[in-house]
Amino acid sequence: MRPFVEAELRARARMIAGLATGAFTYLLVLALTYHSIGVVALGNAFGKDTPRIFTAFSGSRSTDVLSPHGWMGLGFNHPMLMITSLTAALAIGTGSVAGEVDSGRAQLLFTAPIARARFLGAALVVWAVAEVVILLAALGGAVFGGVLSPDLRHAGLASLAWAPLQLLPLTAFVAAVGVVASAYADTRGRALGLAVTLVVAAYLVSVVAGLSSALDPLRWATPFGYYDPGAAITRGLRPWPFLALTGAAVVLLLVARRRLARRDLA
Amino acid sequence: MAAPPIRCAGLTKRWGAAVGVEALDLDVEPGSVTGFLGANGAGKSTTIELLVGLLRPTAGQALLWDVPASEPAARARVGYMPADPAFYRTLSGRRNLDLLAALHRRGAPDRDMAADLLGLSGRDLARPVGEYSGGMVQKLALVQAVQHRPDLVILDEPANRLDPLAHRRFEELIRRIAARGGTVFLSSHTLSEVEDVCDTVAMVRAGRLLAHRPVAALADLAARRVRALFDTTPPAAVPGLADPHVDGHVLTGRVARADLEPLRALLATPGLTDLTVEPASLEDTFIELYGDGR
Repeated sequence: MRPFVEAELRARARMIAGLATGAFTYLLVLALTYHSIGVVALGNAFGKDTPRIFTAFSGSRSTDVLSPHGWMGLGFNHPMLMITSLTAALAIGTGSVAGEVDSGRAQLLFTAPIARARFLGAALVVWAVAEVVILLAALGGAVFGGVLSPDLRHAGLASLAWAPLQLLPLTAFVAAVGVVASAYADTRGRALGLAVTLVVAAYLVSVVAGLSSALDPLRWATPFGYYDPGAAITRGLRPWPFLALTGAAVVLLLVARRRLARRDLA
Repeated sequence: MAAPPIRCAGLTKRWGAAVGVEALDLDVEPGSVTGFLGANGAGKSTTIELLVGLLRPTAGQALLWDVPASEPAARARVGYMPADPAFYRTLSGRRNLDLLAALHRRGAPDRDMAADLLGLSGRDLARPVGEYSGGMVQKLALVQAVQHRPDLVILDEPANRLDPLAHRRFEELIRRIAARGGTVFLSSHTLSEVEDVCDTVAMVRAGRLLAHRPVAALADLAARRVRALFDTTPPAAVPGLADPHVDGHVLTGRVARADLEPLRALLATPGLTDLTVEPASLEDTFIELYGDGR
């Protein structure tokens, strides 16, 4: 399947490069703003009462969002980076079946003497390569910005690497949602519409859950509730959310595989 | 006895109330070149997509050498060209061919032969497919279908966008495949093409098989054309002569196979100076089979 993976990556090279550039630039700018907009002063002004909207968007209940690492955690959970990293997952996920049928390439690819499930496996490799490139770019932006920012540099930059690593299973889950939608939908448009609706709804639920203590348990009903970049940066990789999201993604992929084996591809 | 390259056994495909193919039984002999004919929506493409494993049958079986077409192993010896081929547009023709050859894992021993024959140069193959004309995409699709020297080549409307010269070369390609013992199964709207390159014809209507026999034998099913020249005004009708038409001194009509009575009657008609009986063309047969509701 290596030639297929290469062809898919070549076909998506511009998208991946664009998203990686966006992720790098965004985290770089965010790191630089820590000093330039005076987040420390902002924190002093708020005292211990940081507005919940900040913490809700940071995705972290346990870290000070206005600390240097908390600020970078907010960056790794900001809708801008979410869109950048999840676009690749959704595009590749929804393209894996319905996209190939839509484009007509399924007629040549899925008639080769290869089990359909192997194309799903290859799509996952394509997603993994694309996502690693984008997340490394994001990390690169964060580290580069951190080097230029005295506060972040002083707090330490090595632990920033945990945030994209913690994000990886979330993007895997979203890619799996895209693959399932793609396996069930007739067209890529429908698959994308379905997957984006689910992901946006899940994100909004996680943000709303962060706005009030009473709503907090809702976070566990969405995949975003299992992603806490601030905690990852301050305390290291959190294994059980990592494994929970990875396990859920595997279950979704098994559902997609079952559906793909039975469906028509023309 | 060797398993047939293609066997449809009670093959049925429905989408709710819509019928694609209904209880189709069809065996294709090894080494044959079979034309698959039918009007638009008759079930040709549905049958082909069942045979290459893209569609799952509602009932019955689509078998390749007695293995269900849904099994990857069944497709290992097959080359397929869809009616609307689509490639990676940003990749060159050659890269697309490399990818598809790699998926078939049989190399590309016939790529150069097919590309040369169809007029796809090395320069053409180096260009991105997005820059190709419709005819070039069609040629590339033909090359990918045969490059790995498959034992069975399935082509869906293969000559749709080919110019007359490329069309001739396409026919030569089919003859070469047949000459090496390959089996070809092609759907087409171009009856002359089927008549020229196929030795067997299968006809479908509304998802059901109408006829499956050698081209020559199929033509026997249709009435022959008769043209009689008279030195006087021809008779307006002759017993047994169908669709009589008089134009000046010429009487034309059709006679059914093995029905010599109208011919005897014509020969006995005073003033007859010439009589020609032409075999029915495949087109006549097609129209007749489709027209009479059989």
